Amino acid sequence: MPVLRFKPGRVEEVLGLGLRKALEVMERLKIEVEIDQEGYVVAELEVDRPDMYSLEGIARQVNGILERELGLPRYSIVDTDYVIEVEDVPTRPYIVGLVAWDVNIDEDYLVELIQFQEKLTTSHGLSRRRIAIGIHDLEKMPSKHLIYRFEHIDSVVFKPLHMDRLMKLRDVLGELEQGARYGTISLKDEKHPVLYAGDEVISVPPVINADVTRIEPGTRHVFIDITGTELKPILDAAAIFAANLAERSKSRRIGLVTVRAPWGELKEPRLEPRKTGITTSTVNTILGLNLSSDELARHLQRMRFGASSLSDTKVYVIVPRFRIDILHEADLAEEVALSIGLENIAPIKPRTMLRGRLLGIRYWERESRTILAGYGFVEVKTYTLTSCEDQKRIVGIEREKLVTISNPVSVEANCFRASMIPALLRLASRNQHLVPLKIFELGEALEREEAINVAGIAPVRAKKLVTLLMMDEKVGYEDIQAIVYGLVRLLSDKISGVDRIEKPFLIKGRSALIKTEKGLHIIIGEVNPALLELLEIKYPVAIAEIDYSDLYKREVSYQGGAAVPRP
Amino acid sequence: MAILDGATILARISVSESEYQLLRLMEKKGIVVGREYSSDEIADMVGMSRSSVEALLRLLASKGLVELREHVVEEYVITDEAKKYLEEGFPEEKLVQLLVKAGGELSVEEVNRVLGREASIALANASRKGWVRIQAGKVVLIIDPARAVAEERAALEKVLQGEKLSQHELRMLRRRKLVDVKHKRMTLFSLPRSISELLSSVVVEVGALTRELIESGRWREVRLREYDVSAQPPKRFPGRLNFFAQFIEHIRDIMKELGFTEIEASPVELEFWNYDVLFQPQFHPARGPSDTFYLSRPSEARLPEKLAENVRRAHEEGIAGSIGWRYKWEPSKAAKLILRSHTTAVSARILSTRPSPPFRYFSIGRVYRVETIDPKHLPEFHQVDGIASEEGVNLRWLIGMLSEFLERLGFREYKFRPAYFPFTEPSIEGYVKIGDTWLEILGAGLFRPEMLAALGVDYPVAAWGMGIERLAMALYDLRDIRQLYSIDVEFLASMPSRWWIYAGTEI
Repeated sequence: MPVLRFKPGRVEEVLGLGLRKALEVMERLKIEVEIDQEGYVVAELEVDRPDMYSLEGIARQVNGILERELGLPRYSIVDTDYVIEVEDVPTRPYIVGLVAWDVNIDEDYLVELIQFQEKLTTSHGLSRRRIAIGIHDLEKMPSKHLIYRFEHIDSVVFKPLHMDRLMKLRDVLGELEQGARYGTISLKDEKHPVLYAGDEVISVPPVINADVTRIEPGTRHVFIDITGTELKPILDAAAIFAANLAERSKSRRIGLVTVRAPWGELKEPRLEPRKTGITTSTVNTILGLNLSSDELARHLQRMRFGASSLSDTKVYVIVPRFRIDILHEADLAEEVALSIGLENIAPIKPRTMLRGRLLGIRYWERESRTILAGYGFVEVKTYTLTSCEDQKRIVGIEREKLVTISNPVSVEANCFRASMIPALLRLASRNQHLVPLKIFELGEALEREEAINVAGIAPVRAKKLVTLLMMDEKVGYEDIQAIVYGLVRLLSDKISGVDRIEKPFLIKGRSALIKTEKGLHIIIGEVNPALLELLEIKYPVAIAEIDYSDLYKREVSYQGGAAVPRP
Repeated sequence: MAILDGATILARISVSESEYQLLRLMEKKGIVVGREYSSDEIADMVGMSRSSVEALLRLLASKGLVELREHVVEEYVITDEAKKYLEEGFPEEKLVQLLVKAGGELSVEEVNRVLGREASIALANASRKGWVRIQAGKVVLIIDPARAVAEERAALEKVLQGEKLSQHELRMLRRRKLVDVKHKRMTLFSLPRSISELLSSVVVEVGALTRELIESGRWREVRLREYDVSAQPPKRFPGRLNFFAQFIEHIRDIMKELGFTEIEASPVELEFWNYDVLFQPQFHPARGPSDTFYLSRPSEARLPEKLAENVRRAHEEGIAGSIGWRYKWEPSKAAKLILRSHTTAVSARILSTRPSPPFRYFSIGRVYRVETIDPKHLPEFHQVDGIASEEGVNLRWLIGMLSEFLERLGFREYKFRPAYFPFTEPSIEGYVKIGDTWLEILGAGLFRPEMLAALGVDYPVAAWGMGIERLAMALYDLRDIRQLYSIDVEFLASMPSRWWIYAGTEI
């Protein structure tokens, strides 16, 4: 979630409140606030409210809650002569511009403005891939005629922001930090988007601006370009920027910029609000309240919507353009809840009586665990993400059966476990000072199963396992067999077959596959000393892995791909 | 119950089983009352080693059952020279034999030559004993050779036999340095009373009550030794259920109590169920490899066509009165396989079956997020997720249900704050107070109409989810999340149970 940092003095100034009161009101607006070690206000915002990524946006909302200003905020939108001619820019086709007058940048605001731009392009702009924003000093613009064009990186030379020399675009992308971070986003066949004002480069979106239009303390008016891969998000961003800059401006004046592009022609940001309506019953049903249409309209005005009661049941609502989070009546219902304050909404205790149920298999699991603890086993809980290498090398799971992760955090966690034996052996290796050691784990494992071809279902087989391990000066097949047989019998099950198996990790002639009448598949045996040596285990180890997936499947039914208890 | 009453037993002197056995053996071997015995003598009689007999006798003496007297005795040990004389003959005896061979006399020079270094000793002693006479440079035998036996020989034999020597004999041997005198400390034991008397004044004390004692009935005759009951016992570790697994089971039980039915699904999900069905747009920052684990094998699955079309419309155009997200929805992205990032994916699956209200479902399972392991983060952790629908489900009802859940967990101080989740509206977060800090533990809301409509659900559904690890850490006072997955078996076996948590005791 976006985290913003503000000077406490600025918070007081812009919100027009003492710091304590300011923080309190911010909390009501879904903003988590705290004071850091340097005394700055750290505000964690939700991603749905980019219009509050600057103090002016927060203040607009606070003014409503405190009833200093109600209803739709009004800005002055005027025409300008600024025109952007757009050529075919295949990697980043869309661009819009805007002018904001009387913003009057000082040192504090410069920092806030850059932060505003950064946060918006990071979260909503997917780190500038989707949205990139360039801010320019209007008075330094070389021309009102702009051209947005796809250029070869060797044919473009300009002085990048904060640099004192001319550079080829190729070198800007190759040498500068911003080039390294953003240089490949819109680059294709050695061509890159370039924005010219007249014949001077003012920006190479989404990487860096030119130094010629640099904003600095003292800049009075700004020109902003917004580029991206889709039109809607950049129009949203333009609206949010325009509205928040206008909040700071004394004249509240925003200038329209004409864009002529292969994909169409437009003049934005018009900040055209959206007209919609709500029904009192819908909102009251969502909130569990009984508010009149007048009360609803008042609450929405406090949240800075245009709102008026049309009848007892209908409220006419005007949604400001920058509120891109309002998609549905339900969103307006939440605005009403925010205006009221959650602390003022009394809970209702549920009255319906329903019979709660666990999956039937839980009781088998609980009994198994209790019996094993009774046999002196300590239950462990290990990670399901494990090393592919361990799964293959220790228990010989075939590569085709492993569920592998493409972006693991480490090679120790690049597979979903198919067996818990490797984890338990590693755990035993670390606990050799505790012999005799008896441990077990109950949990989930996965195997890839290409044969599963059901729409909406992943081709994997979920396995339910209980894995037991015994380690002692002298421990063997019979010891673990005694536990397994005891467990099976105590769970009212019966051994139905025992077959010798050969597994590289178990000693030949001392390992078996045991089946039970209720459908357990149990691999049991003494661990091969070659493997023990590899894991630096000095004691003999006997293990059993009980697969109870079949029993599980019989105890549940499936609905929508989820297991539910059988009636 | 016993032949001896308690008071009698207490009045008696305690002896150990082995002390008691020694007394019995001594009685059997006929030890005489009042007579002093060395431990060697007693050891011989009873057929035990001297050291153990002496140790037992000293213990008996400390209890006043036998008397003991330490005294010092002189002991004679024959010297190496004496041993040689006994074997080879005394020098004066050798002289007599030499003279006999020589016909009764021999020059001094010849005697010196034959007997060498022993000659002077031989001459001196033979002369003193009146066996020879020295005349004009000649040694003359003057005794019947058959009688020429050194009397020291008999005395030495006595020493070897351990017999007492007379003062004369002792003087004789010491003069010729044939014996050394050694002083030996010796303990002599004697019985003050007859053994049967002693036996009736003691009682055997034993450490362990054994099967033999019980079976033979001898437990009546013995006294069980009293222990230092405040001494530290050895540490013993039991077989043990995992505390964190138990905590998860506790949450299951609470959910069941609240009338929820458990459901479960695979942790491998299609992005579709994890995100798209939940109306989370494909451009959402969490839907990328820096937050979500993608699978390389297998990597995708088929989408359910009809539902996918509904979801596409919800995202692109908006349905159920919504304007939608207005972007191009990619089915290929939705078909990608991931490790689920929240258990809400399980709730989405059950909702797709359009269950008829009233219903309450919950699931508990592991969820996965791209996080580097540190004391506060793990790439996998557990969540509980609940959904419910019934007449009157709304925000107030949801707050009521969550309050009930938190109270059953033991919380009395909690609060709710507005929040944002892509799939609920309104959305709230639940905070609980543990110690002095407010801990954010759950997220909740009413599912968005767009999501429900795409699934064909036409009634409101309340939903909430809670991470389990952070709560378990707080309630078990753990500083490091990895302790919940500890590989230290001793830690797991010795972790004290916080059973009152399960009782819902106020936190």
